[in-house]
Amino acid sequence: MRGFGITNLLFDNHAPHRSPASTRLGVALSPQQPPHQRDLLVLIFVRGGLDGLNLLVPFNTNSTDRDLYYNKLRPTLSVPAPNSGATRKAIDLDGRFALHPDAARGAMGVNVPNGHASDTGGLYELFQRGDLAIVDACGSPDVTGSHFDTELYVDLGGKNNQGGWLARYLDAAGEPNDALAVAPQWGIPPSLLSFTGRSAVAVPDPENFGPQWKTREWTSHENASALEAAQRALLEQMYRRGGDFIEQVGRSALQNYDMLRNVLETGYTPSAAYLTDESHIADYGHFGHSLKTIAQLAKSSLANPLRVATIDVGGGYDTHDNQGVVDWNGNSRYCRLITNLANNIKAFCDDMNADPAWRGRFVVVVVSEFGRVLYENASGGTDHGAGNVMLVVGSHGNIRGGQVYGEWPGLKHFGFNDGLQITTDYRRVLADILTARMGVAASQVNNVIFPGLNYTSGLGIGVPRQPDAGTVKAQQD
Amino acid sequence: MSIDSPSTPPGEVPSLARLAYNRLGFGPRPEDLANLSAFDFAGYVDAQLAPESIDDSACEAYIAGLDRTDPQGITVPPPEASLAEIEDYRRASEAAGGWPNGNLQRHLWTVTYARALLSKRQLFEVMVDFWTNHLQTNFQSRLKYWEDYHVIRRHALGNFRDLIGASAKSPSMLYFLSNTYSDGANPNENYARELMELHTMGSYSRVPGPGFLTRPNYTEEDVHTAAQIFSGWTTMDSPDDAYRFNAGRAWPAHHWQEKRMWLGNDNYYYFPYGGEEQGEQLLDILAEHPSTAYFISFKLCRRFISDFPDNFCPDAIEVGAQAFLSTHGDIRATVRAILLHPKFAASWGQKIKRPFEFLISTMRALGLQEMINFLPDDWHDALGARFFESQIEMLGQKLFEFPAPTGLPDVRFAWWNTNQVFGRWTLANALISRYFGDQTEVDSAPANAALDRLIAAPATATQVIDRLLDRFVGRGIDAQDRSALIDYLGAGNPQATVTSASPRLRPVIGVIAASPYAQWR
Repeated sequence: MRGFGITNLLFDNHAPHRSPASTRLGVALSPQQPPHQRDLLVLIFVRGGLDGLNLLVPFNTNSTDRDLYYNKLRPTLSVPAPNSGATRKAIDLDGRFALHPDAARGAMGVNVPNGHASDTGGLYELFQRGDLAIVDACGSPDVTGSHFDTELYVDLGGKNNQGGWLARYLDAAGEPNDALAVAPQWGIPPSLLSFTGRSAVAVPDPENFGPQWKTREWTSHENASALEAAQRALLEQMYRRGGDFIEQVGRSALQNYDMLRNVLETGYTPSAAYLTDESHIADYGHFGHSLKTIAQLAKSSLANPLRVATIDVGGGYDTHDNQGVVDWNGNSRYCRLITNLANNIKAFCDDMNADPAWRGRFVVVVVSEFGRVLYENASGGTDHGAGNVMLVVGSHGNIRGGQVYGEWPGLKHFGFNDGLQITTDYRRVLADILTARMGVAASQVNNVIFPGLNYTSGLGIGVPRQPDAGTVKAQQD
Repeated sequence: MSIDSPSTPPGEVPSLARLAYNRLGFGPRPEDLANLSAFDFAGYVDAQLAPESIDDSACEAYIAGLDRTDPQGITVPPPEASLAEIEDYRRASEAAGGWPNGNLQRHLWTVTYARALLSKRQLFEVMVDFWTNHLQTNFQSRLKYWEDYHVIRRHALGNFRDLIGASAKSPSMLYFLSNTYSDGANPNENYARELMELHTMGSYSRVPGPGFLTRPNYTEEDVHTAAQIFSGWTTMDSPDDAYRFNAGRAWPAHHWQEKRMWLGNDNYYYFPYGGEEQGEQLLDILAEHPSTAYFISFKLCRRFISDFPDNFCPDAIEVGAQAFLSTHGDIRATVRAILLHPKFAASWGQKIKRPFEFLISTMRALGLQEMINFLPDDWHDALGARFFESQIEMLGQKLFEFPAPTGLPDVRFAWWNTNQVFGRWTLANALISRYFGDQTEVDSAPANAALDRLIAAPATATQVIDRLLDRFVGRGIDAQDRSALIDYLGAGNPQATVTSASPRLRPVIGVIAASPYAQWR
């Protein structure tokens, strides 16, 4: 059962109304920030089935893949190889794989049409500096041809599990029921669905968090505040018992209101350029705004620090038709989808790394339910496939980046649904990060988070945390 | 506590009449509450299942009288418009620099919300919403406008085979699931898959017994074959994007051949050499497939009875499926069997209101007679259509916009979180301000005749609270909560006289609408 079990540490039962602005602004820095025992995990779920094969291009994996398969299977959609004569072409990572050029916008030597301030090298730059690990041919053992089934199975961390794996992680890590988990969007994905009474907070619009008092005539701020306070006191009365699902969620929402509104109302100037401009992307800027909200909440001095965050990114990754080639102006559907992902992830890293307290203390994981069919269809698109890339993005040496992980299955033998064969269970990648950076043991992974996974040692992506003497011991740990 | 046995609200259980108005419609209007003791549930179900015999002329007149002038001054065609009229409108709107898809969608919002608010054919409107989501398409294409009237409304209480047959040829569906581009040589399998997974059988068998939710209803090969069968069902090269079977797109070597599909059976279904008739045959098979009957009954039970019908009311799923099978997909008979099953009457606390139901049930409880017209670009108006559109968007249930072919979720976890708490609170306040006048001062408020009627003013604070609770909740609430409301409204005096000019009346209505008691369906 999902509820909003977040204890409100700023909330004063004797003064249930919104505190005056003067005191709200004066939130003290908390020594728990960032969390002492573990990194902040940001899970990005690309809904719709990302075409990983055109993001991470197997241009030189073996002599036959490229010439006999990739170009032949995708006669119009294939991304030009780094050694081709095309103006816009993939950029070499390791002599075997190359990145789509729009995942490298702003990198030296990459042709960037239709430029934007967020073009600072994207995923390529992260890879070069060792902050990006790419795992190819990942997937779910429960993969089906259905988005909805496969997404749910990934959210649950296994087809037969009860509740979301992120919620179970918080259980396993011994986080208190009030640990802050945020989805900066209007709905909360099933990965955070909890059976233990913990809850997540949806923040769809940080500038308008909480009730908005709307009138046609001028209503003074004072009057609106008084009306809202009176209503709020009555609502707190009626939600106070938390006796059922409705009351439980409502009670916590009202309790956390002050804390989150304090943060969100103070405004936020990021230290990097996010890409939210509709002329470059196709999701109305949701993804960039969502990442910015996460950075804002993480860096703000919340009494209850942010532990995990997740974003569903959309905007048309289910590219059954008119997927789009690497066009001259980077404006095709697929180019925009990749630009949105790459530029905003890079911006988030730059934004977080700008704060010394966060360096080396966050991990971003990008997953999608499945990859796409190895060959293109008659509509200039690709249908639902199987294996796909996963991205793990770290900071200042908390992961071993700059490499492509995973066992490359080749393009010669088709996998499920004629997609890429799955050689790495996506949960093993997550388990790597959870055990190295997120404060849980392999036994907890196998018993609680991903029951039945039998994880012993992983790919070695996460660098195990060292006890850091310089941080004040967190009060709640 | 498990996901399958969610906590239900403590306290009193409302009457069956209340449950009927909440679940078979969008909540009671004041006039519905006048004679509740004489309510005959079975009679109400049967009357609602015969919408054509319900006089709805007042609502029809309201719809016909709506201003359809778009921001460019062009008239949006009426809901029953033909594809040619919609195409004419698109051309005119685009020539004027307008946004035809958006304007068509906005008018369809107005019409849909107005019907939910005013129509006496409440169950019909619920079924329209049900099928709109079951056969989800959206305003990526203006053709959704045509589909709403000519496919969904036409068959909402008709026969299931007719409904999916019309949907398969609906231009909006052909675009939404890409079938219009499908080609026999290299078919696009998007529609073929969702037809089987989402529209008819479901991925896994839903027939009780061995194989329940474990035996696949189709193989990947079946999906490819179905895609071959539907190649050539297209709008390409057709006037006004109407459906046609275009054998030229269905390559002879691939389309025009015998086919076999297994569809979860040991023996195959045989499709003789043919063109469009193979698709009709497949639709026949899918409509008669036992898993389809159970899947449709499951979804109807989820809509009307419980978020978790497999656990809460498997016997209601069974009677619905049997009715579906024995009548060959008669939607009325299926719905009737489910609603008259005893589990319906015992299902209080199993469903919560989604934003659509919250919006309309709040407006109905307030006795409102007029819907917001969503067409004008009234950005200047703090309580205009654009404000309500943004608020509805934030609540996540903007009609005809959902991008996934599943349709919007119909379980509580998707519809109740921090965002919903604050959003519904905001929406309730905004509705009260828009319709009953501003809440400009704390110590005085403008008199409003409609608001006085709503509370039967003048009345005491106690009487007003009880009256409002009757409108919005309809069951006894916690005694302390009731006292707190009375205490606030009467400023400490339960006998204080309240009218529409009382400054605390509007805020207290907003609180009741946003209270936990008013969120259950």
